Amino acid sequence: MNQKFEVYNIASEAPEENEYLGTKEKFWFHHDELGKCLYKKARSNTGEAWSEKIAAQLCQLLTLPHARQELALYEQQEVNQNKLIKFQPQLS
Amino acid sequence: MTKLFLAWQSPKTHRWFPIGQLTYDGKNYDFVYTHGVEEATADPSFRLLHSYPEKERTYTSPELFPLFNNRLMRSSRPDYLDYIKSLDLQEAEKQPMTILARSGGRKATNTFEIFSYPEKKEDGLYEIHFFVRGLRYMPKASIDRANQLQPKERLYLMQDSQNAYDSNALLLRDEQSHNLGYCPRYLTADLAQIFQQDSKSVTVEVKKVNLVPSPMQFRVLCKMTVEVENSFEFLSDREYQPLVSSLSLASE
Repeated sequence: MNQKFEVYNIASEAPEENEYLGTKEKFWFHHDELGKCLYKKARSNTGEAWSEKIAAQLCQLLTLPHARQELALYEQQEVNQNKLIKFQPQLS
Repeated sequence: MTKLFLAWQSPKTHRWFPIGQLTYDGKNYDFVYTHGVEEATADPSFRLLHSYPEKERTYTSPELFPLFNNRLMRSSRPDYLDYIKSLDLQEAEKQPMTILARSGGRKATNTFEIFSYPEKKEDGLYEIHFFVRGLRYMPKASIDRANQLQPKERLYLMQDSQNAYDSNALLLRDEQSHNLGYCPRYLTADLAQIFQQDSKSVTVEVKKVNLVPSPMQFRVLCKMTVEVENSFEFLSDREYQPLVSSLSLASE
């Protein structure tokens, strides 16, 4: 039953474009498997990273529309400080 | 008065249309649509901007409109100083219009771009700053070479007439003919005209190289110097002219 979420490693040269919205450091990059992704740096000891991951998992179970969220490492920062979010184009 | 243009790219045809103009007189920001919006409207995926529902109107505000403000990084962000540094702006230049002109305000989530109207300096020369475009689509060797460029290194423009997206496209190369990426599209039509007169009147040099972790869009900042006769005007095509007639501008 126990299953660990995969933690993705982001190459240091990955950042392609800035994302200007929001208060946290973030950038867009291309991931070979996931496509266009937004990396958001989480503040330490806030649970920001894992709480969004869990929220996304709950959305999936409830079949609610949501952006895919994954945990990631960038520049050797600790796992729980980081996450990456896959960008999903919104259907209008 | 600073003048910026807003361009929109069709997701289907990849064509760019200058659709609006933003000016700032030190007190108020003015937004107007330009004639380019008429051509853009012919594209089925184009919609008038939500905040500017009327084509022939001047929108005025003492604060920068959200469409533009959302393309600026908040100064409280931890990466703000790196961002300003990568744009090579001095303390006094940290003004919204200057930052937008330099950064282009691109967002990954839509296809708008901002660029400034080139202004003549006192010595009669035009000085235009831009970031090398399309580097992320270039082969690894080009990216490696870009990372090694030095400030003041000369770059050269080459016509890429068979480019599938823009027959005016200008590719940038270094002294040893390594391809590095592209010159911004909004300059290419004017440069083609200038090259017909005198190809030596344009010089491009590297101003700054922003290595990792700076995003690739800001890797190579260039400075282009253009010497043209007095009668020449950049971005003078009809698509750059405001839709609002000068008469209605005067009455407001």
